[in-house]
Amino acid sequence: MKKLNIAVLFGGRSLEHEISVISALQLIKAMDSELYNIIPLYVALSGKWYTGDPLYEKSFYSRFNGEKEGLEEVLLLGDPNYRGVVKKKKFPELISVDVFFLAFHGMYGETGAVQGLLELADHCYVGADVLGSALSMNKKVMKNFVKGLGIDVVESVPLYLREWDSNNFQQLKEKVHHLGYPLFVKPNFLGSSVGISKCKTPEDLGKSLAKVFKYDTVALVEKSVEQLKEINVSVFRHPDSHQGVVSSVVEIPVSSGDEGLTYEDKYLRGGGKKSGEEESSGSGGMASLTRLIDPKDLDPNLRDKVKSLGEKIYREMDLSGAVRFDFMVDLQENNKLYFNELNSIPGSFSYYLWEQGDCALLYTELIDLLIQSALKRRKESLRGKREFGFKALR
Amino acid sequence: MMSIMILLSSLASLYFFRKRMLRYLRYFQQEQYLSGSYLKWYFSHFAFDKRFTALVAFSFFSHNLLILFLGTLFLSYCEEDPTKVGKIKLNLTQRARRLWKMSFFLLVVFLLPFSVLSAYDFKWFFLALFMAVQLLPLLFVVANFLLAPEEKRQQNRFFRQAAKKYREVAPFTVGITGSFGKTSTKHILGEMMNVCVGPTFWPEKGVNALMGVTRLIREKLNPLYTHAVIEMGAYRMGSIAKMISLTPVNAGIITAVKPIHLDRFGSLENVYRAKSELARALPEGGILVLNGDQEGPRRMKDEDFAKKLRVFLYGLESEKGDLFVAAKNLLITEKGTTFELLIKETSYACFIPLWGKAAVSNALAVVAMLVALEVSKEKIIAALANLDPIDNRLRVQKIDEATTYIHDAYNSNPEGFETALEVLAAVPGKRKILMTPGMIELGEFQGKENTRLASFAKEKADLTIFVGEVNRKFFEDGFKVNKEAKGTIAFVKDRSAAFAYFYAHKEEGDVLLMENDLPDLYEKNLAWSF
Repeated sequence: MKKLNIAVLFGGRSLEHEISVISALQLIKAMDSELYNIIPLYVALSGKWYTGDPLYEKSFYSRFNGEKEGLEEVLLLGDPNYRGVVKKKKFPELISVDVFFLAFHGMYGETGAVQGLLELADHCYVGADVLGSALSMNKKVMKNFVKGLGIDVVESVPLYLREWDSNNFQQLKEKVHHLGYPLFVKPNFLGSSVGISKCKTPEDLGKSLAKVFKYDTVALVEKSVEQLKEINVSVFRHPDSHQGVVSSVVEIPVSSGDEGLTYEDKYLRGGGKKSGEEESSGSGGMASLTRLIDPKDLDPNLRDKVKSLGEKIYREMDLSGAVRFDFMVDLQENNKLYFNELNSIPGSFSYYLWEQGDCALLYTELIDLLIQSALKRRKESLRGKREFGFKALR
Repeated sequence: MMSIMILLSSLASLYFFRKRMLRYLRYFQQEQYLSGSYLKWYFSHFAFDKRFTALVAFSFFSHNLLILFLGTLFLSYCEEDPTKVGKIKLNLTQRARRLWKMSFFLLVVFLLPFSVLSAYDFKWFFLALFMAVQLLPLLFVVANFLLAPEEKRQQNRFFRQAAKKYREVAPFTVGITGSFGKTSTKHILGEMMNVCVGPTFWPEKGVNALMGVTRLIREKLNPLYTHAVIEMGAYRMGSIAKMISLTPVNAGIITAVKPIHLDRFGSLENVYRAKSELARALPEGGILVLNGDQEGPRRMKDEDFAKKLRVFLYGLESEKGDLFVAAKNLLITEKGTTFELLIKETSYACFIPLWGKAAVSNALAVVAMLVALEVSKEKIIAALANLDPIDNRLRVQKIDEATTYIHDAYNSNPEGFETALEVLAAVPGKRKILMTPGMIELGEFQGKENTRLASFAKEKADLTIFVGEVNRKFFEDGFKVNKEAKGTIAFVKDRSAAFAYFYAHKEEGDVLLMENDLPDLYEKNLAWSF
């Protein structure tokens, strides 16, 4: 069988740039090189796209300053006649790609923007489509969608930069007053806990909003669940139609304080798993968060509910790829379960959640299944007719 | 056989020269391609070649070309690659490449007649090698001179393009200048204006020279920017006025007028005149924010040119009077500095995630400017609490459980150094350690200021790890003068030795202040590496 050319796309103009690099390097390390020719495609902070051998080295990125030694600049065109990426030089040369594996986190790469470009050029890619990506990145709209499915979400109010610009602080305070303090104030479009803060009194609201508006134009002000337990689960669509949408074991991430999971908790503390197993591929990134995987003392009903709700949302949104769903349990409200958010490209692809449980998968196997799924979806979309000649203009 | 060995040795020598040239080019670049400063560095550091010269002499007297060939290969191997090692690496920009190529061309032209003469007598060959290696560093000066007209033409073209683009975008522009604090003030104002006012263009890091700003305008100025903050370095008389012809200003901040770079300005009065170019260029009704703690900026408010402007003073020394924005009751913690902010004598509780008096002073300049721009006070205080720390500028970080690091690696001045020592004393910890090579570029005040700060360091730090030779004598004097204080001092040759010393003596609860990490060309005794 012909080896497939898999381009791993990562980096990007995003605050989560370096987390994406970590996820991509873990992914590349775990990919089966017998089956695939791996092509690393790095989108630098400048927005330029590169490929080349230095991209395999973790230490390369912190000293990369636009110096192109050992790298070649490439372009991804919206033209479906180019079946891959094009080297940007005097005589452009095509690097043929069969499947693009998106390992971006945050802006542009996870929002549907890159997915749109890939759709435009008829490329096959791993991960959620334009709508799924865009919806999952917009916390406000996503909450409304999930609420429509009859799933509970924590009450929230969006505040906009234009309202902040109007200098009417009193009005902003009044808009969120009914939620009651303390509140969580978060950027509507960002992940990785960047820009999130807990606001304990109305006097602190300004500081929390200033933190959000450094990064985003919409702040989501959310009622704080004071005593909570977070439960996450990963879901993906198996290429084998009989299996359909399947979910992993659940995890309980452990935060260091009462401000919820911070960027430091997720990527810098490096506590590692608490289940005591060796990691199968790579380290760092989201995989190094302190967490309890498949906790045995968790109420089985709660666990099953998390899994089934994750699968339900996945189906309703017609998602693709390995998606992580984050739920919250209100310990003061009789273990009421809330949907919190979903990550269409979760850190480390949540591979650590698939290594245990009834349908345990090694990371390498998970990657194979994700690629098979992506190819299957592409084949389906190829069946659709895109043109029917000139009729109206004749 | 002889001619083959001469050929091989020539090729090896050219390879060696090529590598050696890159090393000199690094220092030329660090001196901003100023031939005078570069030559001064070259002669004061005895940076002429010794290794290759010794090899040539040895092989000449021993009549052994094989040793010359093998020795040259070995020396080439030993030459470090300045694009990969060193604190400030060589950045092979277009200009650096042009200089390198031109210098190499000049070298080949120089060697051509010798190649003919060597055919008659091979003594000429050795003489050529000796002269060539000694000429290498000077070739850059000649190349720079030859390329100057073309550089100038190109720079003028870029300048015209940038100026045209800037005029078309026409953002409301705040210019910032001063002998210290201007880069940090720019960072704070740039960030705050983005959050509180509108999309703001500001060249990041320490970009404050004409061509740096020109490049960023050409590359990064989006037509939708409504505001801009431009740091204006006074390199010589007229340089701020020239910057303003590129970026016309609506408002200005002047942080300090100090006797720095006196070698370029001649007198403090000339520094004052150079800085006041910003104030003079403001339009009628323009906003001028001045540091009321500093004599120079304070003097400007009484000048004729200030009469048509809206002038605001800020500062920490309320007793000097007339302060529009002030601060008192500073408290330094691990997370930042809290203080009482006074705006027209109304008091507000304030916090900034930055450390020390100098940072508060810079924040006050920004507050004064934003209040003048009618931004609400709640918004200003909210945004101040969310500032990002500025890389390498008095940044307190707990990297591991045992040690707190205070990084203040930027080229320091006496006020900044003093503040850093105060922060070192205030941050919680068991043992306070200072690592520094002292301060440079202070002209006639270099000895006096370093001695004064050394004496202060003896009070504030339990241990001072002194790096290098440049200011060693002044630090020794400072430690001798202050007999009361208990601090001790250790002398090490360079930065890596300083860290080795620190790690060897590290204890739990140490707070380490790294003050003024000088570029390579100041720190190391380089003489024997050439």
